[in-house]
Order: sequence, then structure tokens, then C-alpha cells
Amino acid sequence: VVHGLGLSIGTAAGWNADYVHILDMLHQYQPFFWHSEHLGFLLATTSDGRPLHAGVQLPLPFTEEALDVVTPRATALAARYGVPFLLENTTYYLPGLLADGGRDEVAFLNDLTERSGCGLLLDLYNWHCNAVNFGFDALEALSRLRLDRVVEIHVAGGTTHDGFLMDVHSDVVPEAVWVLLEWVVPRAPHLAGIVYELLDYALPIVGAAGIRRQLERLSSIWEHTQTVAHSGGKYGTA
Amino acid sequence: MALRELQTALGTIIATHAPDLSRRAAQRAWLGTLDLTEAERTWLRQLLNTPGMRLTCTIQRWWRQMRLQQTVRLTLAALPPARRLQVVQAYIATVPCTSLFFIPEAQQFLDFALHTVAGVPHLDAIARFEHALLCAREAEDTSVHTPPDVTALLPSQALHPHQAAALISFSAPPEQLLHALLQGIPVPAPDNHAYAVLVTPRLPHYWRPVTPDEARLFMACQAPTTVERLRTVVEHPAQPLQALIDAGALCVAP
Repeated sequence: VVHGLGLSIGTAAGWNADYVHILDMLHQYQPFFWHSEHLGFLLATTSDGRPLHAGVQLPLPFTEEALDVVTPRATALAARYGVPFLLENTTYYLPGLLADGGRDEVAFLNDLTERSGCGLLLDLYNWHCNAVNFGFDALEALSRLRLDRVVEIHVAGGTTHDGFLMDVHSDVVPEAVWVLLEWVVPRAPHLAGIVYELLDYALPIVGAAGIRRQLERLSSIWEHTQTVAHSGGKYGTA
Repeated sequence: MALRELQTALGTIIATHAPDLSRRAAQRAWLGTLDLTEAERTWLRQLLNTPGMRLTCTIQRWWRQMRLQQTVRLTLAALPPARRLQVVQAYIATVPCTSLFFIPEAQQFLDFALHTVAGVPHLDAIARFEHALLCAREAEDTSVHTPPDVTALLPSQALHPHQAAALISFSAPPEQLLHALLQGIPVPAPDNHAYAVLVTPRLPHYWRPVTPDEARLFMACQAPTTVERLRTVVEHPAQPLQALIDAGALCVAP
């Protein structure tokens, strides 16, 4: 499977066409079962129309206009490669994101997956970070999410900086995220893969034994669910 | 609401965010010139002072710094320890981010270092060498390469350098210098000799020392030239020319 960071699918002025070109080449070289991107934007234009790269994934407002930008692109990407396209929820640190119609992140994700037909790459560590940083109940929010759209799950661990829990993939999965995972997996009928994310520089921090423990626990949750609930849904398993 | 304007504002704030209050005041004033709703303008102005905005800007700088630490190790090692962070911070503050990819960021940094850092022994050659290595890596072609036989070339045939090939001149033995940089031990002092190395996508590890004849031939090919013309550059061109073609440094025009 392919997981991208540079598409900038939410840029109103146009996504990263060079990145799509790379995806095209990759798909010709090695077809993939599904591909995914982060929901947000990196590219913008300056006031005088020059390209601007934020250098960091920025969140979209939870608005109809943002949905209008992303929805047709998500649909088009799935059609372009003939495989499911997933969008990943991100961690953000900017307070009070603009919204219309009382829409929050959950409602935005539900509207997006419903309208575009795309799947969801549910990053439970990002979900947990946002819940901690902005003070909402992660489980309550998950209970409102369209879990039938979840195809892949990411888990990770990170650090706290300046009062924020950060998405840096530098540690073992915190217990609160395991709780979320155990709750979600049996309720996500099309779930086809779970990934433990760890940056290479953090390998010595977690260690081989630590990584093995994370993977064994993931397998245990997955296998338990396989026997009692479902078998990877319509995408099979990865 | 114009999402495009909102993204212009947010992207510009992140890209140019400065901790000093005078710059923030300027940013607040600048927001007044954009085609935003009052709610958007208010939100953006409030954001400027939030810990979340500070962290977002910091994360951008961390990632850029991390990309450099992984890609320009030799050049960073060539800088005196007390200046490393200073140069990186000056680069990040001066040169906007243009990509999340490692190599474009590294190449931008090396250009910056070449133009702004003076008085550091070997830095110029190391930065050029590392830049050439990155170009060679980007241009690597794993297809089967059947180099032409020099003796079969017509005198009128044109030769040109591969776009990712470079000749770098060091002022100390390159193996000793690179070893010292990688081991963090004192580097050899510059001497009066020129130690030339060839960098190309086809070489193992992308580089090797060159002979004086190879260096002369390669330099002669920087301008449009022919096989016949190269025969006047060195006394016995066949072997060094073949070596340069075999290494992928020179290409024969069709």
C-alpha cells in the first residue's frame, strides 16, 4: 500500500500535481491495493500569486467550502488508480478551527467519506493527541464516526512539548490509544490493516523488544477480532 | 468564505512566523489587507499569539532541521561545532521551505552554505561534493549500461558531460578528509595540491579519484567538443576517455 504526505489535497488553489505524477509513475511500476494521504494542506499561494510551501501539514476548516475542494479530488484519485483511496485524520495544534453549521471534525470526516466514497485511515494516536490537546472525549467522538469507512488504522506514541501531545512517532503506544484500538477494531467491518508507526531515529528509544511487544499486542487484538467479528471486510487484509 | 485567501494567510504566517513582537505586529497589519471575512481575520490574529501556532511553526523548523541532519552530514561536520546550529538556523530563517523531500531541502541548504559561509577550511569543496553526490543519487539509473568503445568513435562525434556528473577539487587527500569528517576527528590541513574526484550516478558510491588526464578531458567537455578536439587535450586520450565514458561521466551525442 502507498501512504503519502505531499499531495496537499486540501489546497484550494490546486493540489500538488508533481506528487500525482510521482504516484502515476509508482502505480505503473508497482500497483497497490489502496493508497492514502493526509487530510490537510501544505501548499498555498502568496498574496501576489507565487507558490508557497508551509513545510508542515496544516488543518482544513470544517466547512462546506473545504468539503467542496477535497470531495471531488478524493473521488478522482480512487478512480485514477482503480483502488480505494483513504484520507488520514491529522494532529493539529491550532485552536478554534473555523467551521460552519456546527460541524466538528467527526462530522467533517463523515461528510467527506459519505460524499466522496473514500475510505478513512484512522490514526488513533492523532485522534488521541487532538482529544488531549483540545479537551474532548476521544471515545465519545469515535462513537459518532462512520467506522464502516475505516480501512486502515495507525497507532503510535509520542512526546509532550510546550503542553501539547505531539504526533512524532517516537515511543510505544500509550495505554489510552490501546483502549481506543480495542474499541474500534471490532466495530470497523472493513478494516484491512493496522500499522504501528515509528521514526527510524526512535528505534533505540523503543528497542527491538519494545517494537515486538507493540506488534504482538496489535496481532492479539486483530486475531481476537477476526475470530469474533469480521475478516478484513471487502478489502481483504494486509 | 474564500478558502484560498485563508490558506494564503495561514501558510504565510507559518512560513514567516517570527517570535519578536514587531514582526507579529506587522503580520497583524498585513492580515488587514487580505480578502478575508471578519471572523477569519479575527481567528488568524488570535492565532498569532497562541502556543499552538508557536508549536506549529517550531515543528516546521524541526522537520527541516531533521532533513538536513540526515542528508548533509559531511557539510555539517565540516562546520565548526559552534557554528553548525547557527548556519542551519540562518538557513531556515532565510530560505523558504519548498518541498518535504529531503534532497531539494539539502541542495538548497548547500547552495546557502556555499554563498554565506566563509573562512571554514574545506567547506567549499565538501559542500560541492555533497551537492554532487545528491544529484548523482537522484539521477541513478539502474538500467544496463553498455558504454561505447572509444576506438570505434568517429573523430567528428560530439561528447558532453552527464548532467549529474561533476569534478570536485579538494585541497587535502579526499579519503583522509572524508574519513576525518565521518569519524569526528581533526581534518587534514589544506595543502598546495589539487585532489580531484569524479562524481557520477554510475560509480560505486557515486565517486572515485580521477587521474590528471581524466580531469583535463572532463573539463574540456564542459563546452561542446568532439573526439578529434580531445586528442589535442592530452597526449594519449583513449584510455582516460574510455574510463570517463565507462563511469558515465561523459556521454556520446547520438
